[in-house]
Amino acid sequence: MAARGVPSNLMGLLGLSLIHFARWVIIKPDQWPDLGQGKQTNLKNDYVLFCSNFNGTWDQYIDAFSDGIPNGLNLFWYSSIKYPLSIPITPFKNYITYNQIGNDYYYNATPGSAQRDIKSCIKVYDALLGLEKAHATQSAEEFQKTYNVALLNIQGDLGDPGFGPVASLDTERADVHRERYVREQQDTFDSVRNAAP
Amino acid sequence: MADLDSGHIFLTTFAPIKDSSESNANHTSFEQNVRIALAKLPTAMQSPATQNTGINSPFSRNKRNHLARMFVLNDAVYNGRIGQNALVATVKGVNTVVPQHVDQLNCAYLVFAADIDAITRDGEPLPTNLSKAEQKDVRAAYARELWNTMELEIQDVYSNCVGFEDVDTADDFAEYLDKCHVETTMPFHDYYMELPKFHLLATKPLLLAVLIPALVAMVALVMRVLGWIDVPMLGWNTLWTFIIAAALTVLIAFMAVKYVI
Repeated sequence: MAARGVPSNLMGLLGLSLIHFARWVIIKPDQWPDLGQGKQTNLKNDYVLFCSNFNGTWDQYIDAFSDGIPNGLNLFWYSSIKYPLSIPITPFKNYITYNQIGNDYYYNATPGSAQRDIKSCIKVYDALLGLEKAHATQSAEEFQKTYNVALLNIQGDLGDPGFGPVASLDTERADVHRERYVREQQDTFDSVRNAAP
Repeated sequence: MADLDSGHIFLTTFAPIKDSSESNANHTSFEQNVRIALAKLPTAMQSPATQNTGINSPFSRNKRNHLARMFVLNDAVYNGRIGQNALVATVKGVNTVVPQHVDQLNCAYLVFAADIDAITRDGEPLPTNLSKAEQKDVRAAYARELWNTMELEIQDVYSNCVGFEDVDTADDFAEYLDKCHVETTMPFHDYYMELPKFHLLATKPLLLAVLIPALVAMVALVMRVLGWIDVPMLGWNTLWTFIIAAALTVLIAFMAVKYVI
């Protein structure tokens, strides 16, 4: 509530340009979905799920949080059991590691694009919209000037980001080894789809 | 609802996974089946290794998701015994050998979290505000889009989840995912080109609104305890002043938390 009502607590994060989307989800004991398996009756605590999509390594990310908004972090997590505060950083990282859940599947619609690359794309898109409007009303000579000004503004945003750095060589090898299973599964799905009337 | 921020829905769903004591022909737990199905899903073509496969993620078949993740949550994380002051424990007669309660979920959950455009049809502009009903429509439209573009992959994963036996159509899946929906408490993104004027909580006025009647109540109580029947100059009965001011304090605090904060 302190973060939602007083966004200045998060100012240290904004402008880091590391985070794409992040969320906090507080789940009370009666809010865990019950689809027939029964309500959760053996829970005394609320739980907070924190998901973040960010650039850089895990260590860089936690370091940035701890350096950027140490008090903000404490405001978020002060009511969590055994939360060790965000400074010093080692117990904080140990706490996060202990409470972290390994992800099983991750999808990024813009792989290779860091947060600033996404912002660059938004700038280019906005510039194109402006040029479209100008093109409809300006003469050729006027439009050339408008175009040159727009190009100058966004010239730094036109590069291709390329591949993002792979997390590790093990990750790359895992992707290579997993290809067989992924391909088999997709072939199975394709044959089901092709057989369907 | 805090699912919506800057034209995007921060969709969070928890689908309970079947208990493995149920009859299961291939002798693998439903949790493990979910993990295997997720491991076999292709990721985006994000590296030379994955680009060489020529197979893109099924999520790329729709244009509404920016990011998506799925993981199995086995159980609540237990951080260990909560210690307490030794003197307090002694006075209370707490036997520290006896274990405290440990939270346990009655099933594992498949958590699916996605950051999606808050639209019901491709090409629509991103909205600033949506009512609860409109947000539900957006979630349903996204679920239908997923079903229409990756039905087999969804079935492979979700067939291990409780209540999925009755899901046969896109509408069924939308209804199913709605039952699994949990509201995001606080969304965050950092795509601002310029920082907007955020809506700020009026903390000082709120604090004053609660503290002033609280102070009046305290002063009236102290006066009453010291034997003053009426408030000097105002002539109010000190007992009634205390009761009314205390009631106002509680009411204003309650309303501030319920409607403002």
